[in-house]
Amino acid sequence: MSEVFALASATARYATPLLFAASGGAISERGGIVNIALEGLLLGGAYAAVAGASVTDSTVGGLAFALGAGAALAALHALVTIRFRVNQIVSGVALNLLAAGLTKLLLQVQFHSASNSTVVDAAALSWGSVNPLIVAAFAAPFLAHAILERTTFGLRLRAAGEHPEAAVSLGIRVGWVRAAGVVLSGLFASLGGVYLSYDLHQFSANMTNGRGFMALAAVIFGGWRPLRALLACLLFAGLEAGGDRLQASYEVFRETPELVQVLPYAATLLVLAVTARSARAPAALGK
Amino acid sequence: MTRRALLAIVPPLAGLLFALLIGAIVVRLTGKAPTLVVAHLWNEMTAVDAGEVIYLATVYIFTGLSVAYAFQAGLFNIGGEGQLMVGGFVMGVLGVHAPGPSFVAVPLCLVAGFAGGAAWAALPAVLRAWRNVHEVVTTILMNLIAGSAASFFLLQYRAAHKDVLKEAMHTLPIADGAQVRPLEALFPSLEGSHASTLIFLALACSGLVSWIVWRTRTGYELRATGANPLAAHAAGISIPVVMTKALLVSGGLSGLAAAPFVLANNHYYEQDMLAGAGFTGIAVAVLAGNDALRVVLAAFLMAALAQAGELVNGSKEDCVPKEIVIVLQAVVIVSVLVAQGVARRMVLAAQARRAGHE
Repeated sequence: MSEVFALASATARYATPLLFAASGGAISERGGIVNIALEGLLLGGAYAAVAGASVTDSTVGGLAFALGAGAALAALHALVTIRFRVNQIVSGVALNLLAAGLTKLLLQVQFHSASNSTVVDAAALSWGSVNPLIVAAFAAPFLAHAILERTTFGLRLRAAGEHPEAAVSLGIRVGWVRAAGVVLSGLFASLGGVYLSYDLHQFSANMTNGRGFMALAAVIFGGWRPLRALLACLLFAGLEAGGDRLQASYEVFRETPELVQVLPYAATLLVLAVTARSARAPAALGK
Repeated sequence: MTRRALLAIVPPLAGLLFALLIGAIVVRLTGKAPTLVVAHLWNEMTAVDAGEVIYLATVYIFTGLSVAYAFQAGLFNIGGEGQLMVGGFVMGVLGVHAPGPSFVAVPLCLVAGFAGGAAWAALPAVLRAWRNVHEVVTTILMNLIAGSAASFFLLQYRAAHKDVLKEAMHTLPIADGAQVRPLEALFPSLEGSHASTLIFLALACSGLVSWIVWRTRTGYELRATGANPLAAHAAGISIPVVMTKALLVSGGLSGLAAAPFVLANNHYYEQDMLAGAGFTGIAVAVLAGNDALRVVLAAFLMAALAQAGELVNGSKEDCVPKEIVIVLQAVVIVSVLVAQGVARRMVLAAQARRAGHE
């Protein structure tokens, strides 16, 4: 029984950054803006959280820094893709590159290390034995679902993602609505980053390790619906947790950890291969 | 000058200048003086650095061509990192046994590297062409898998050759015949640099890719697919086949990018060699407007930037961490594209005005 519980709690921990990022990704993409930048948003959030906690010497300060960084990076993506109509995927890739470079640069300026920050005690968040970020992560897809399906803003956002011309003719300011969706995705994703670095009380270079892309795959797998994306996140996280268990229990996997590391990526590929064709993307996605 | 030429030159220049401005601001924000950093750079430069720029440009021409070629078909291959790694590994492992004199062994190794890179692009190619899975997600995942796979296979390889390699984290040295000559054999002033005669191969590939794209049926199908897949399909072009071929060639070109390291300089494959070159290829392709010939110029610019980063790298008063180069690459990509969009709109607006006067 404790074995099952251990696996479940490990799954929940692995799922946390994915859930935040996927919820944000679904919001952005339902508005028609592809968000390949999730990886960079996670990374930027993770760094800003530790940097903020270190500068302000407070947990909440770090949180505020991370949200600000996430919103700023996402706003840049919105500006470049919506106002200047740069290809959304190219912009996203450039933002990922920017986040990777900037975090490594700042790491050396602020913490004088190329690989990781010092341990920041203020970088911690807990309610007794529960990490509130994990609870918030499981609430995030429901919040994203509520925003998309139950609010006026969500209706406008979906209209902008399905048929922008029709939305314009109804008086919806498509550009601004889409930009708001992208910035929201930045706020969501940055919380995933906060979890990653707060969990270790420090930032290490490239600590997101492709999680943003797995979250994006979860969005696609979930047919751009946050609640289905939640299931996909749990699947990926479960595989990661299961891989850890394999490594702990079998000598073969201990000697070759690389085989286990590959598991979630390979599973993501497989899931995409099986489902991508049947998934229906927002009609104006990427346009 | 024609309007076309202006559109090809002005936006990249404006973007580059804007990136340098951002770079100066970033340096300023880290509490250092940009002028001191530039002065430091100026004082440190030597002839060897010119050779290093040639070396890096050789690598970036291949990764830049890789991205640009796929882009012609509307595909965005960001898997250059992984394809280079796999191409380099295959090149290094087979290079040990490459038979015969260099005019046999070197081409064999190059073909092996191309095949390795292409093989790593094969799954994303098939998934994109027949299952409509976006290549950006799959090629990134393949990069992550390549990192783990390469270290797994390198560890196995080392275990098998423990007696020779001892603690070294690389493959066995390649056969003498497979080694490519350094450029200093032709230009003695470059002595001590990593530049090799492979730069000529890179230049030839640029010409070849340009010829394929603009002068052959394959290139026509490629461009037609990129410009309008529906029209291309209606014209009888098989979109899945074109896409698959495009990504395979693109992967192969990234595989070749390992050659300057594996064949010409270190003569072995090493974990994390040339890290970042695949992503630099994206900046090169964007800067070059996906034109195979202009890729050469863009690659030299990015190589100069990277080498400048190495020279000023450090924590001293007039130094700056070299990661600033990655930041600048990202800014170059975005600002060149923004400048292009703005320029195109201005040209259209001017045309509309002129039409109104007539």
